[in-house]
Amino acid sequence: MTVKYFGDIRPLAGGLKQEEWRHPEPEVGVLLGALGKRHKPLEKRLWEGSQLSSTIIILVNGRSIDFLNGLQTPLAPDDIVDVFPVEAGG
Amino acid sequence: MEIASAPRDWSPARALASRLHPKKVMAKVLMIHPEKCTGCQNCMLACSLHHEGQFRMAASRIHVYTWEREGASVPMMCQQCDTAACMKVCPTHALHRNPGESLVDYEKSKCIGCHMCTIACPFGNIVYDAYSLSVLKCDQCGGDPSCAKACPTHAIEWVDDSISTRSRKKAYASKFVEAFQEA
Amino acid sequence: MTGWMGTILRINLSNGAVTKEPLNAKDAALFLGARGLGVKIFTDEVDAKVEPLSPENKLIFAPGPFTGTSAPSAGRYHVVAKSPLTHTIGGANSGGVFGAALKYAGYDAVIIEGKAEKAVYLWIKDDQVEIRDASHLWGKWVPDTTDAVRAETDDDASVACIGPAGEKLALMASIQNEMHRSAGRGGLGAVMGSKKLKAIAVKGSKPVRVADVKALEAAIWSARAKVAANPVAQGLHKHGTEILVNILNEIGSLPTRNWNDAHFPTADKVGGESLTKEVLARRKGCFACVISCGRVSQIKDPEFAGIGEGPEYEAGWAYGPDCGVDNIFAVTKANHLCNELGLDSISTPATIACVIDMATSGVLPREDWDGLDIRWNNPELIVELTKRIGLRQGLGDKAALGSYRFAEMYGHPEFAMTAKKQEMPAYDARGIQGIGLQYATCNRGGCHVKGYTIAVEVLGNGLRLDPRETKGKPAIVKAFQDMTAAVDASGGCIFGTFGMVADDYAAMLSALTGIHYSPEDYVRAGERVWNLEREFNLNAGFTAKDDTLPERLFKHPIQTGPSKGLVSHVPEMLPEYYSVRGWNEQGVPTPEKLHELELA
Repeated sequence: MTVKYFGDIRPLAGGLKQEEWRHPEPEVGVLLGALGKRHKPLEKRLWEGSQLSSTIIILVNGRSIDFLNGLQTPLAPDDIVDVFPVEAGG
Repeated sequence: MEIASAPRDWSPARALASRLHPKKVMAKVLMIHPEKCTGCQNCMLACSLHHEGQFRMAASRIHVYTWEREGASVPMMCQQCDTAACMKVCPTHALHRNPGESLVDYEKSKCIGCHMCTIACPFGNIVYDAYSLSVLKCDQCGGDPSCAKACPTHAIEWVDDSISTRSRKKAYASKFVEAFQEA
Repeated sequence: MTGWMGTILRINLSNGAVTKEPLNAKDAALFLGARGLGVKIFTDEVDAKVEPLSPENKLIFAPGPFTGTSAPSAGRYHVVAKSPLTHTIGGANSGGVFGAALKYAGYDAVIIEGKAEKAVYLWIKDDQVEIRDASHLWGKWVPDTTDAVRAETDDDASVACIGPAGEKLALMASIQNEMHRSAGRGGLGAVMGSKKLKAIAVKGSKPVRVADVKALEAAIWSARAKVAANPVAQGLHKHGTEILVNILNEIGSLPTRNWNDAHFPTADKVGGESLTKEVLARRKGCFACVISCGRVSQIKDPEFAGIGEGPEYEAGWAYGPDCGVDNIFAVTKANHLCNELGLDSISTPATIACVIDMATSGVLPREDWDGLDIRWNNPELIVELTKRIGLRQGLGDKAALGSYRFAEMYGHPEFAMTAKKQEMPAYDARGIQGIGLQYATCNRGGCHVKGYTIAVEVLGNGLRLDPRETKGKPAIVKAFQDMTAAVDASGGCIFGTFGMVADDYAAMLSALTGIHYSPEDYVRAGERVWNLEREFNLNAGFTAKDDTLPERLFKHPIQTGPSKGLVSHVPEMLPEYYSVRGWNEQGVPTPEKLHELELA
């Protein structure tokens, strides 16, 4: 699966824009845990205690996990997962 | 880059410092970082509100100048010069320095409105204001400058005047570190 | 009076009459200022059927009660006139310093009437108002105009002006202040040009008074803490508005190549991260702003070299993915040109995208291509055609009428991605249902900013709503429209709403003016303004049929990406929207609603 990073998340993931995650993870929460272990600065940013930070948006194939199954959203090997900080436009 | 939130209260720290070292109070200065200035003029608004309880740009003792083509802004206020030209030319000592303080103080009751200080200051940081019939210069708001509290980007900071706060010096020194690593 | 200055300035360019009138306190209390007061005065004085580029149209510049105070991120002003692009009531909002300068000069509104015989500019210095000859300024671009006017008036004067685009009546001409800030949408620059008014210079020395200083300070610091803690506001400061390119693309709702699709594979090259890395020089803030989302951008690439402000998200999107371009330097340069020529940086590139679509679809005959290489992903084209539109040369002369009239000229209006003839901005209504409803019902035509549901449909600011859902969206759209109108009317920037809520605005307004506003009163002022604008549009001849979107968004689903297959469901949401608005089935405000809002 492909994991993409945006905005302020990029420097926390060692400056990566994206990486191929060859370890198939069953669901989003597990994947985020594994990413956090790989990139320590990212780990702090992702979590507010055991909850996902309210300043983070996770997309799976373009859909926010808020409208899928949250951290329990299942993942398939060719999925694209986006990690976005909450920011804005206009 | 953080955005300042609640006002900081420096007075307890200062009071403590002056008790510990009665003869040598650590002077505080308003440090300007023009590269962080966004031209928002919050400093001017805060200065006016503090001194007059209304929003009048000419009441502000601090001014921000913006060059639109270059996209740069610089805040300017009295630098409380060690050897202040304004103090030297003031015939009545309305402009004076109290012992142990960094502030160039202004005693309005002694001022005759001769404007000599406005001519002497090489930076133009002291002006005469017809509306209030007074000379206007930064008075550090009695030790708790409103402009520093109001600045959202910390382009103005109320800090101890010691070498450790001269962050620009350190920032430039770090360029040598980069150069050494490239060699 | 506190908050307000108490005076309205009226200038008749036909006969040179300059008059000062007291501000109507009741109007001020009900409509606040800026957009609200401007719309109230305009609808009282001007017939809804007025021809926008005729001398009978009026041009009103109005700051809000907050403008000129330290209410956070609330230093704005609004320009009101009938729009020559949409023929609806037009209103364009701008930041910079001009609004504050108007307050300090002593005015809550400046009404420009009639038409000058020869080019003029206005010099307003407190009570002193001069109408001066501007024939030597006519033809100058915005930066040179600003410098020249300051040289003749005051180095510190704030200058609002038009560039060649407004002079030549381009229907997407803007009014620029401080060179780079733009009252952009709706072609109000052309209204100013039709009056032969080149610029307005303002300087003031009067105070904005405060009813309760302690209460105002407390309310301001409380509000500032909320904005400082809001991740969206902080993101805006760090990366500006362009940060949105990537998230819109990742959800597959980034309109691409004139809305033929909604996914652009190389979007990252023109996103906020790239802007910060490649062209950002410094950050800039409007008067009294605590966010400072402005970008000073400098292009070192010699082909597109220059310095200016922006691009903002909409401009970056329109010059970028909408034209199929992924060159950040060309996009930034083209945006600079919009500011320099005085052009709306959404309508101009969106019109260019329409031109490219028509050319590549074979409906724009080659002999009309003006020697240009018109195709998608041509960085030189977006820069060159912008110039020709601003100067109304060659193909730019026709394109300066906007995409709808341009496409209609060739018998194919369906290529124009507009609502009420104004180009829609950068969020695909097929993938995001709420913003589609906003485009269709906005009183000034295709616009996002007057009802920015993106905040909850995409950005997750507080509430998180599913962009694909239609359920409940009409009420959300109304809530955003009303709150935005209130913020506009008080002189605020809507980015302040990333942090502040009605309670904060109401507390500050009460302390400033000495009039008690509850949060509900504050939002109701916005609803009042919205309904007054709606009434004007109905009187101008608009009906429920005009509350719609281009056919493409109903019939042509998104082709690729995560939102593939989706279409807009605006028609299904309209009945509920009229109902929550308290309008009848034809979208007309009922007598009860007008009475409730003290409009009848």
